[in-house]
Formats: sequence, structure tokens, C-alpha cells
Amino acid sequence: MATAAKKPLGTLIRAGLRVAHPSVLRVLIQDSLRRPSQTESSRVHLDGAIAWICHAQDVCGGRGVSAGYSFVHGWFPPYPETTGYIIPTLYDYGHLTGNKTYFDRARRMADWETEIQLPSGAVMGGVYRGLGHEAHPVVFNTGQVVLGWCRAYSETGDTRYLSAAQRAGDWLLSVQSEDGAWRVTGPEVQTLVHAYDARTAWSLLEIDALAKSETYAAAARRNLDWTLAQQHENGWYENNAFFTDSKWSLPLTHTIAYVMEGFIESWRLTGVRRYFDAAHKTGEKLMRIFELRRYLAGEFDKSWKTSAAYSCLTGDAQVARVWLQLFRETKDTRFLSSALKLSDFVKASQNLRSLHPGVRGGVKGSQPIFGKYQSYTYVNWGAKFLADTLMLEEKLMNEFEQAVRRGERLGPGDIADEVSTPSTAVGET
Amino acid sequence: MRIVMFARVPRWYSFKQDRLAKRLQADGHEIISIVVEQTKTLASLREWRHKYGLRVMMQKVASKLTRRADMSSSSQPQNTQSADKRPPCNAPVHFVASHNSDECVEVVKRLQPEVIVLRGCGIVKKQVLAVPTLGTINPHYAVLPAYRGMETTEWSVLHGDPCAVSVHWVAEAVDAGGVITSRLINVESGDAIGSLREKSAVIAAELLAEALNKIQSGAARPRFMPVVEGRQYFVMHPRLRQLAEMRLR
Repeated sequence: MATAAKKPLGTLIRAGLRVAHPSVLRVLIQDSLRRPSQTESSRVHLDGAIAWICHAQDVCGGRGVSAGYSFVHGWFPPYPETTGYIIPTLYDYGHLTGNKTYFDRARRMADWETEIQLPSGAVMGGVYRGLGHEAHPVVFNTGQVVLGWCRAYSETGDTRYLSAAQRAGDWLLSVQSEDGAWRVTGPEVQTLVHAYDARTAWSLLEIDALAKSETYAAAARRNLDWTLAQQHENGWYENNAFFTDSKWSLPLTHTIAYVMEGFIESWRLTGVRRYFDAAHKTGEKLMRIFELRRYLAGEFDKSWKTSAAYSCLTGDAQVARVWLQLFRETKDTRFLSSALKLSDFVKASQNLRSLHPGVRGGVKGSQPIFGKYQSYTYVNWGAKFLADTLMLEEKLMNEFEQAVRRGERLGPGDIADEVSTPSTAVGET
Repeated sequence: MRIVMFARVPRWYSFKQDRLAKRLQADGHEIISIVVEQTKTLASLREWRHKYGLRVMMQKVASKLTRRADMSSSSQPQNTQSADKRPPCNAPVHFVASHNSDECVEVVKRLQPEVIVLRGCGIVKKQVLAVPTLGTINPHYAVLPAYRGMETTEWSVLHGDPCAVSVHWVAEAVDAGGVITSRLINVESGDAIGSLREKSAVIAAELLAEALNKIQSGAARPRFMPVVEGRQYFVMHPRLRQLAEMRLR
């Protein structure tokens, strides 16, 4: 996201005034002392995250969602990419609460996306600063908005959204390389080719599911197979960072989770097991790392080593959700336990009682807030992914609790042979 | 057999009435030392509270205090725990900073044990495992290899699987050595995670004695799984632990 300040002195003065706000000061002190906030039930945190997203939409005129709130720059302009993938989150929350105002909000987002869609069908990179500003088409951003349009079409039946998604899909097909990867330069990142475009492939599969056009699915499979080749034996993905500078060149948990999400959703839509297995391999590795180190650092090198002293909260929320999905499919309760712990960590970073609307319910880029990823900023995609995670968490926990109450066996299922070998049952001595 | 026991407890902890140590001595084994990785009192109390729950922990403390009082006054024992007439454990205790430290390796090499018995400690590294002439054994509170790792009593209960104690050879990978002996635990109405852990501790003492006798007679030889099987479990999230407790009610 481009955030260069044009007037450094003015920016500095405004930043100084923002930091003087007691709520902002409190966050800075709390994070400096590494003191987490008190956590509430998942539902309270979910409501907080959604309220933050709604406020971020309202500050931008009630259509696109502000990219986030920065202690340095204040509220950012709306961000097309993430507004796109926030659309399904608001529909899900609307269904959960039965409150139709969230459907209306989601629809306003989808309408705004169609209005700012580039003539080529692509979606621009970076934040939207209004007509007359330069707009570069970006592959990943296009894919994420396609996800929003597809959902809006499924919910409303309005063909404008499907048509916008198809135009975007056609553009994605037109710029795809022979090997399935996308190599289009963008304004937000330095790297050219990305494993995390697996989420873009997923978006093509969503169009295919609605429009029944095999060309989208074939292009998606080509990309997913290319992405599979990026996976190392230990589950790490090559070509998965935003930048090439040596100190920024490592994949974040955010981008690692993007790849896993792309694979899992693509498996859901295609039934191709190797996509699920790839996500499972990475997810299991991350679970071991998290459980043994009791912390998930924000970035990892190809040996899963890290020197990062911060956690990427967006990545944490995403990884927790991937673990929940892995639990749902494999019934491996370790994933459920780890997901609960990691979402607790994100919840403990969320301030629900702040008087400041940019802080209250928001999710920071990094924990602590001065960490490397989106320093001093609450990002809309952090709130989105936390909300997605908490909605799935509550659903799965309710189902799991019911299964426990019914007395169902919930283990790995290979215990029967083990217990017949040793001696018999003996009670208390 | 010449045995070294590894434990991780606070400095004030006494092994004189230790259930396992007394049992092994009574079976004719020589406990040449108990090598203790010292822990902080508060951390240990927290850990015991987490493992056993407050009720079982208080019962254990009361029982230990009663046994101490019985020893000092030589009066008649008042309960079944203190009815243990076996002589108190008199093994010397060595304190080390870590069971994986060079200092610990030196201490154990000097002691020349045939077997190391792990009695509640962390992962022990290769250089320590290489010292005893016969091997290292460990009691594990679950069926192996299905339930490797931590809090396996809780995981077994949560899944509705049988609870058990297994004594196994210690390999480099976590809980991956061959099982020497194991026994299921009878889960009764009124049990909680804490009481199951306490039952497991009693059975573990018996099974360790049984395993050492098998090793001594040559009936058990070190064996290790060629491939690590089963799942390695980690600390359970409190919400799942509550569900495990609920399953027992």
C-alpha cells in the first residue's frame, strides 16, 4: 500500500496530535510493556471487529472500506482489494446475526467495486484516491474483488456482479503466463511472481462455479499446479514475499496463509486432494512451530527459522482459520486446540473498550504495534480475517461440544489395535 | 540394577517417601542417584494445579505432610498412603541446572547407571540418552504410539478413548521408543482429569517396577520404532479441557 507523505511537516504534526490521544498512548505503552488486553467471549471480539469494519466503511462515505487507521496518517482512503474480500465476511455476519443492514453494507461495497473497475476488467492496486489518480491493474487484487462479486451475485442474483467478475476473470486469463503463474508488476510490491496468487486461482474457480466456463477452471488449475511446485518438502513456499530487499524478502505468515487458503478453497471447489494435502503439510508444520515455540513469529525463511520479534496478527488470524478448516476435514483435534490458542492471541491484542474508533475493535498489522508489518496501523484485512476465524471457530466449537455431549469417539480412530496388545484394565490400587 | 532417576521439582521436595523410589528399592534395585532439575516453587505449584486440579493437589499435599509427620513422630500410620511400610528412599540427590547440560552428562557418566528412569521431566537429549548401558525408560500416561506428547490423559478423555499408562524406551523422537508394558486405567464415575492423573501415577510406579524387572531378566531389550507413528499432542486449550472434564461427568 502506497503511503508516502507529501507534506512531511504537516504529517508529523498531525501524527503528534494523534499520538497524544489517551487511547493511542495507552496502546503504545501497553505494547511496549508487552501486556495483552483482557479477552472476552469470541462473540464479543467478533462484534468488535465487525463494528470497526463498519466504521472504516463509514469514514470513506459508506462504500469502500478504509484500508486502515494509522497513528501517523489517520484513516486511509478505501482499499479496493480488501473491500472485495470483506464482502463475504459481511454477508456471513449478516446471516449469523439476522441483521440485514450488513447485507446492505456488503452490497454497497460490491457496487463501489463495479464503479471503479478498470476498463480492462482488472482491479487497481493500492488505495483509491479518486478519479484522476493513476490506477495500475494488479492480479492479486483483481482476484480478491472477484471473490466479493461472486458472493454478492450468489446472495442477490444481480447479474451485474457476475458480469464484473467475468470481465475481471477474462483479464486474469489474458495476462497469465504459459506455466500458470502471473507475472505482472504492481505498485504495492517489488516481487513479480507470487505463490499467494493461489487465492487468485480460487477466485477463477468461483467464477467457474457460477458461470460454468471451463476456461476459468483450467487457468486456475494451471496456477495451482505451478504453486504446488513452489512448495518445499518442509511445507514452505518459494516466491511468496512482497519485497526483494534482503531484510523484507521473507514470506509473512499472512502470505503463507494466503497460499493455504487458496489451496483449501480450491480443493473444496474441485475435489483435487493434492491441493488440500499441500495446505495440510504447511498447516501441520506451522502448528508444530507454534506449539513448541508457543508463539508464531511474523515471517519465516525457507528453513522455518525466524529472527522476527513481532507477530503478524492478520497472518495469525488466517492461520488459525486454516487450522480450523484442517480440523473440520481431518478431525485432528490438535488443529482445533492450536487454532483456539492462536485466536486467543489475536483477541488479546484487540482493544474493545478504547474510546478511539480507529482503535476500538480493530486489529493491528503487528503485535506489538511497532512491529515490521504495517507498523502503527490497524488494518481492515486484520479485522476481516479475525471475524472470519471467530465465526468458523464458534460454529465448529458448537458442533464439537454437541459431539462430546453425545459421547461420540472423536480420536484418531487407530486406538483399537493398540489397546488389545497390552494387559487388562486395572482400577485404582 | 543400577538406576538413576531424573526428576524436575523444587529444591525443598523430598524423595524419602517417594512412591516410585521406595518401590524400586524394595524390588532390590539400587537407586544410585536422583538427578533433579530444580524448578521454582510457584511454577511447580501452578503446574501441579493445572495437572491435578486444586482438590487432588491439596489431597496430595496433605498426604505428603501426614507422611512426614508420621516419620518424625513414628506414630501409627493414619491412612493408606502412610501405611506403606517400605523403608524411606535414601538415594543421594544431585541438583543440575538442566538435564541436558554438560554438567548433567558428566554427573551421569560418573554414576555409570544401567538404566535411567525419567520421573517427570522434559525432553532429554541424545548425549544423555547415550550414557546408560541398557537404556532410558519413561512412564507415559496414554496408549502409545497413538497418543504421544503432552497432556495425553486429557486428549484421551476428550476423544472418548481409553486411558492408559505405558512404560517405553526413550528414543530421540518424542515418545517414540518401543513399549515395554502398559495397562489401561479404569475410569469411574466421579473421576476428573486430576484423579485420573493420580491413578496413572500409582500405576506408573507399578509398571516401571515391572518394566525394570523385565529388563533385568532380559525379557525386554531396547527397541525403537523405525518410523515415528501416532500423533504428537501439545498442551490442550482450556476450552477443550473443560469439554474433557464434561465428558467425565
